[in-house]
Amino acid sequence: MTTYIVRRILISLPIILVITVIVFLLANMMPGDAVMAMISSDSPMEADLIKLRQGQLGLDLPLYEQYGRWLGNLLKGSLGYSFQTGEPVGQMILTRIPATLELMGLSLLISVILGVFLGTISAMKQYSPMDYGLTLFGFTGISIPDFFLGMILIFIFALKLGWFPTSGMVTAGTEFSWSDNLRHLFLPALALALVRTSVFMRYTRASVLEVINEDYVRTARAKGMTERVVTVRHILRNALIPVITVIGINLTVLFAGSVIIETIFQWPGIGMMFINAIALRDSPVIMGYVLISAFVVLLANLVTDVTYSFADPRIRYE
Amino acid sequence: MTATAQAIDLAEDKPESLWGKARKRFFRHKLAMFGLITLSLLIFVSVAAPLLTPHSPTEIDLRSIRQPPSADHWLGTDGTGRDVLTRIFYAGRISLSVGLVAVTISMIIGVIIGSIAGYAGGKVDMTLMRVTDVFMTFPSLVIIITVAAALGPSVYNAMLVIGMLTWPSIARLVRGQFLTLREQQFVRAARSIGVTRGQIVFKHIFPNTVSSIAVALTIGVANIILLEASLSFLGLGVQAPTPSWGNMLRDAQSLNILQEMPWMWVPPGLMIALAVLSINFIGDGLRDALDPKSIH
Repeated sequence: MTTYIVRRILISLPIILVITVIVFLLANMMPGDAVMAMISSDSPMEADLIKLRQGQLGLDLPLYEQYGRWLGNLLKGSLGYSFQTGEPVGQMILTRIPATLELMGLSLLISVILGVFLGTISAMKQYSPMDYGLTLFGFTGISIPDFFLGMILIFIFALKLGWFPTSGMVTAGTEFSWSDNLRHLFLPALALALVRTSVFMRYTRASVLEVINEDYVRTARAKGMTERVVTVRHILRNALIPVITVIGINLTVLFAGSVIIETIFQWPGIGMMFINAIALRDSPVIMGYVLISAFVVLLANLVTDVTYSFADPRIRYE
Repeated sequence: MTATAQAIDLAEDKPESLWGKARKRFFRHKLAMFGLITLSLLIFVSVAAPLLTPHSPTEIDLRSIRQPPSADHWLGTDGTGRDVLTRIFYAGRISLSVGLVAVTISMIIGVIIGSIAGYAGGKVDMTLMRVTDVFMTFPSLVIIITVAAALGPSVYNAMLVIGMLTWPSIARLVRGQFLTLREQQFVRAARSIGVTRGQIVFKHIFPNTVSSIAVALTIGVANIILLEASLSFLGLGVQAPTPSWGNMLRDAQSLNILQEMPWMWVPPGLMIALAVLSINFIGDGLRDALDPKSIH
């Protein structure tokens, strides 16, 4: 297993390298540069001052040299400095990533529990009105844009009912408390979770339907197991193995989805940092974020495969 | 269905034709029929928009800013006095055509790469699949946002970017099909009697992949409409004053509009959901019709 993991990581390295090149080219293709983005009509700058500033940021060097500098720094563990604030990008990501992980974590928890639960019910009661209702719910879930869902949630639960705050991570000007933080977390996490819930629900349903007629399920019933034991021990244990892969794939979708949800709810994670950096053409921050997201995807794939082999002893990686 | 009805129904096909059966299964699929009717309506109102509404989708009218729904403006007006319903009709043109064009780009790239990889196998397959892996490694929305920002936001760039970055799943699907079909008896038989490689690919293998590609493309259009809406919502897709369902929601992000003027953001949001939902229904119907073995 260890050899397998090490090999997978080694195979990923060239992919990461290619990704850094693509990301670098993209970030530098953006119209305008950081110096231009800093200038506004009320703070005009002399042409030679612009040149000087561009020189300080290394923007006048040929592209391949800029890339070399960036890659060299990356190997030394530095992601460069934000053009806007001068803060180290690594630092910016580190301070913001807990917020994003908190958001993703709760959404994943909600969507997996709800999705597996509803999917199982749907399959056990196949062709019942309940099953049709849940299927429709599933279709609606994958068809509603998450930002629209977020706006609906703000409208109903924050503005009309006043149960939850509309944005932010904690109430401004108050001391940090978990209950306050969780109140802020709930709506964005729910908005992010609902789409995933329907995806997990559909896969769980299909997967349960596949094992429900297996011989071992009939045997379990025949030897007098209660329906609950049959469902949990015999059906779900086998049906959920393929669902693990789906959850793994969706980790990356969740990561991308957090970009939009964080923007709507002003949740101060790395997704919001990325969108702000896009608006300001802050290429070191953009590159840092995209690189991190590529890592997240590769890591999620690896963890998925490894978990899969633990869950299903028939699978052996050489 | 009686034998005569069946004969009339399948007049052009042989009585037991596979396509005829599939068509019948599709038209019996209730959700797919709902989807087909809704989508036709959406296409109709966007194409016939100038005939259906007296207002202009882009002209600013400062005398009627932020008006609630009335007899003159059925869904009210937005922050610059433009009729919301009119903008929704015209936005349909943009959103649906981005979906169609982007999915076409994505299909062309995906089918070419997938069939070459699947038919050639070996090193060619490995190289192409590595490339596909690189594209799949990015969370697609993140990279689409970055590329759209790099190219500069516009309708055409949105089509291009989305099309160029959504092909990997289609390539994988086609490759998988080719790998299986390549070893089937009928392909071996064709090869053994000296059919040329081009003919094997286009006449014998490709037609057998069409049904699964069709399903993937339908679902693809639905996802692309969602992507375009997200891009425009973030201000990186369709630009004002051209309306798209996504950028109409962008214009309504302030809490004040959110709370006091729901007519500005609820209708365009519902339109996205309705369009995507009906296309997903059609995709589901197609899957059931074309692949009766699939568990549902």
